[in-house]
Amino acid sequence: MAAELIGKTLRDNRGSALGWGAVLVASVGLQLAVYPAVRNARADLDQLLDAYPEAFKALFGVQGSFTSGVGYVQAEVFGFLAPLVLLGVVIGQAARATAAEERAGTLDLLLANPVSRTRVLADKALAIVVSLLAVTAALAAVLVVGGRMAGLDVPVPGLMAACAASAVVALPFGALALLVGATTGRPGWAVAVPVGVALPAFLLDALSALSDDLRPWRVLSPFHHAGIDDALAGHPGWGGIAVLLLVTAVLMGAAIAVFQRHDVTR
Amino acid sequence: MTVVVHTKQLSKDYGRRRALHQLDLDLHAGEVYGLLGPNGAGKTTTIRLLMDLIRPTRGRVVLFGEDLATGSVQARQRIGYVPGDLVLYDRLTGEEHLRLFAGLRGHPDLTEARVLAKRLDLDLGRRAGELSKGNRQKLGIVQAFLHHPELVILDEPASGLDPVAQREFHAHLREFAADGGTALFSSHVLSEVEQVADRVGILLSGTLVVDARVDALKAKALRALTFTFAEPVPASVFEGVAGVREVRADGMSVHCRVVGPVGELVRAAALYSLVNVTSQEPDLQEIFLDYVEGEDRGR
Repeated sequence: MAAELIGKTLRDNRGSALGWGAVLVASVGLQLAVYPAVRNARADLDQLLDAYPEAFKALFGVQGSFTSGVGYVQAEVFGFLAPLVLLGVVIGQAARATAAEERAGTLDLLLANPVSRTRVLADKALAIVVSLLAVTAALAAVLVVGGRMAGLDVPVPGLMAACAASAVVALPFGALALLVGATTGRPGWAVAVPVGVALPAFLLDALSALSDDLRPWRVLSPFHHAGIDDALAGHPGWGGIAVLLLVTAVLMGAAIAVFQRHDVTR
Repeated sequence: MTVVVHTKQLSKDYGRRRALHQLDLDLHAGEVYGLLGPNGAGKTTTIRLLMDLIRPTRGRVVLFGEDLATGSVQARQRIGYVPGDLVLYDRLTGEEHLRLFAGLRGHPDLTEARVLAKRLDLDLGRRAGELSKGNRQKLGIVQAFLHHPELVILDEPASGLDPVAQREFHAHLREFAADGGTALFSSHVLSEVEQVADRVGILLSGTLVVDARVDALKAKALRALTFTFAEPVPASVFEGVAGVREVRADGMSVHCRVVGPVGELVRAAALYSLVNVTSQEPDLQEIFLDYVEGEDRGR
């Protein structure tokens, strides 16, 4: 482990982590602030939502009662916002890890040092995980503190587990971004490919609740394995988490193998 | 003598393009090797192969007796490197760059680096993004020497340096070699190689066409001499004089191209009413071509 490299990567990514973290905390804070009003309008809203098409509700993670604490957080925070922001943190930083340095030309100087390419990639990945943990911790903090202030009646362990699951689902996409970045040396591709995989995967998981045809395919979606909703309800899916970690490890291994053989171009 | 750099049949293809073709090169400890060649000749490809930034299509690189294919990390501990088209971290100061690389190299002592920075008149307190091209290049050079390397690999290291910094850098490179250090640098400026290098290699289209001591190369180079006389002198006077390859009379002037010592030619000219003599070093491209043609004739 090269402390200098991890430290430098963390400093380079500080802006990204602070920016995304601030967006997430502000959005979640705002949503929690309006929760008391939503709860007071419970009867009307539930009636309104009953009339919405199922596809719409599935897409935005509205399940059961929107006005219960769990239902509200599920729809407003974990249905869409939190997983995608955490994805943004990880994919953005992973694309910069080697591809942006290669594009800029600084990778030449970095790799001239007596550190192996495996070390470089692993240390950068570690720094990204630290960034992800920091943003996730901020999310958890605002949910616990803001939730208490807004009278959100969701047990803390469920909130924590849902935050953790949202973070874990970002990992395979980050590893994919590292792999594409190491293969192509193009930061654009390293963003485009994981985003291009994440969006259909997200939709597949969301819409599979509606369609019997889609349901068997949802095992292909990392979002299915994350089981964020179940985690929020107090039943974290350890098996699914293990699947995601395994996929991350495989992609990371591939990224290291490719980076080892990669010709650093300019 | 210890062989520091050894390449065997080193080749790199990009698709169908041969960037480097079967390079066999040995560098010994204490030697300064200048790699010359026009753009695209394979200088940077050679250097990037030595730095393990790109991998050979065929052949191998052995540094300090260790094959790069089996691990280049230990070798890089002993190497300093200045990339061509050097790019630094814009947001880091010179000092921060040095600390970062010193940390990665496990060589926290920046004393030597500071001395060299001072010698090159480089302010380490400023961010790389605010530095001029020449000052960035100085920082590139300083970081390459910060860990007391045994071998430095420098891709056009003097590009962008002002004359004073260039002189100091060349002096530093000579002192480095005098202390037993080995250097390989690329350049497209002949005078730089003449001043600094012990040996020179000339790459043309990916092939090393010359690998010679600098003095031997200089002796073989074609020089252009122009004599101006007080009266017209026929070209035939100079034809057949030792070393003369080309003669052209033009009014009061006679233009000659000559290889090796010019004594006999000057003596021949002195028999007429000589007004002026100018001597011009041919540009590098000309030397390459003349040299290669000369080699062909010699065969």
